[in-house]
Amino acid sequence: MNRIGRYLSGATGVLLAAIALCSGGPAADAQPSSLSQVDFLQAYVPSSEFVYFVVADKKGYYKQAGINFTQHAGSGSANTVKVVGTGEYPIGLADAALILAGEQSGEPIQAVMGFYNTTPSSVISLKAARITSLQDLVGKTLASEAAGSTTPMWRAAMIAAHVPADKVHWVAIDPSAKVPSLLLGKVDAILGQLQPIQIEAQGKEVNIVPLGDVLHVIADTVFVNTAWLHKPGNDRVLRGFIAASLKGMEYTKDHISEAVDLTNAEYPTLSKDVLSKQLAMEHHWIWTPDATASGLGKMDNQHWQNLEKILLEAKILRGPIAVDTAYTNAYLPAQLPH
Amino acid sequence: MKGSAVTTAAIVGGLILWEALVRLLHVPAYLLPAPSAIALSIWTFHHVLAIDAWYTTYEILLGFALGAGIGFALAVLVTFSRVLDRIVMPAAVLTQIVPKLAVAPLFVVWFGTGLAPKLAITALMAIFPVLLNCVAGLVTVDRRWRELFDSVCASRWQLFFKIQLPNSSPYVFAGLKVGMTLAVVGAIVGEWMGADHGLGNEMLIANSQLHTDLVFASLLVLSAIGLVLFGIIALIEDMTLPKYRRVSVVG
Repeated sequence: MNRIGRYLSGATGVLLAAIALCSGGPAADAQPSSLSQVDFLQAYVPSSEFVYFVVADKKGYYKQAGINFTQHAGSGSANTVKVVGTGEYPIGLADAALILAGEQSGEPIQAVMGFYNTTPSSVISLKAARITSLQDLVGKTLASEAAGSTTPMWRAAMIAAHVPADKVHWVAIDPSAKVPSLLLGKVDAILGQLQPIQIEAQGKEVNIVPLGDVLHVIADTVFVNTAWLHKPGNDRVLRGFIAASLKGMEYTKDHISEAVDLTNAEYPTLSKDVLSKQLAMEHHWIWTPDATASGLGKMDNQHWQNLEKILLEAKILRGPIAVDTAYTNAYLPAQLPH
Repeated sequence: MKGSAVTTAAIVGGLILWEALVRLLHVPAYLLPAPSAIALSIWTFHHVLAIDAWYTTYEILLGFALGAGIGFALAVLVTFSRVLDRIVMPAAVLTQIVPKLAVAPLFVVWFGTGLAPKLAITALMAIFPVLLNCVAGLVTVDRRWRELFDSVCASRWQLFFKIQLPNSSPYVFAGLKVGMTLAVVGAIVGEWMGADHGLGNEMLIANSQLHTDLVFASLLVLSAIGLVLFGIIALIEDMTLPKYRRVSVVG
């Protein structure tokens, strides 16, 4: 065989191997089922937000509702909104701020179930920095990501607390660099959600100033692609999905240890200890006094209006939006967990 | 001392120094974990890392095959047509200049979160070096050979198959080797934009928990995959092109 022949046969071999891999590869795992398939796209990679849905799945709530449930990792709320908007996934979980922005951009989406019923964002600092209120941030360096709604939320909280935000030295930072920067003393405080667990794991004490103390807004919500929803029978699937998910959330509240074990079995690299602590923090964002009074999953119109106002001031929204149609409580079950 | 022994000794020495510095300077694990902690992480999560490695390797191979195939095909077209040369090459340079991290979120929206966006990013990373090297190889023809073929009225295709293609082989392999290393990066960027499996996905999960040893463990496995795939191309090159085997000029 001449050199060209050898070269071509080598290249052909590589391509054939690739094709062989393709035919038996990991993507070929779909199985036929009489249940309605629901692919649920999360906002980010596996963490405590996955737990409630894992529990609902493992306890058989989705199967009882006639649903074959699959949960997928996301890459941020902005992408989740866009991908659900394209219809690749029918249902997702995302920051309500980005759902409003998506709706304004013409995405066919609608929020259908409250998840975080207050903003989970907080000002987080080391105890030694003595930042126990928004007022204490004056003259200090605060770091947060440039994109997303967290920083506008903080600015709105500063206005609500009558503290001038321009007296704080705010710096943009990559999300993954927030905790190391705080621990190394490069910044005085960060805006975050679950980071106190990571910081305390390093033996440091933390001060947390929740923005939810002064802001009354809806945060992460379950939302759907409305084109999918309006297909025959999918309203029934959605009702079943929401009822099962709420059962999973209620079960998790009362059985944290079991919920963590079930999730760890599904995602072995997630630390049980970290998951337990994350769930304890999330409890305050999910089971708010409002949610406990009106029922879990039910969304408050005023909270949506407040969110819209903040986003308009931050110019994340280009103009007013019909908030009343951005969400609906119509698919929630009659009996909600309290 | 043989070359491989020198390399092994350097790696082992480096690891011992790393371990000692981390322990002596009390470097926090979230900043830089010790090699022993990384090894323990690999041992603890070997089953998870093995599955992730399989997914990532699968994406790398398919994306690379796609990118290399397109790169080679474009190079042939560019060699045959000056018009295509003026269209394809500037476009190829532009796609190479654009930061892949910036366009990757768009790929997720366009192609979804499945295999397609990962293949697209991986292929995009691999195309340019293969294209550039193949073009360089295909156009570099000894003038005497061209004159000889002209004198016997050989066709354009005869010149291509008898001279240009064999002549380009060392360049093609150089492009494939660079393309393969970039394909590894492309697969990880693709996974960062949304994935349920893979080493890139595992890095994000570990990072979100400040589990830096697992981040390094994933990186180590990824590096091993990259080295093996690079080695396979080098091996094929050695087997098919004995004439072009490297001769070291270093003593």
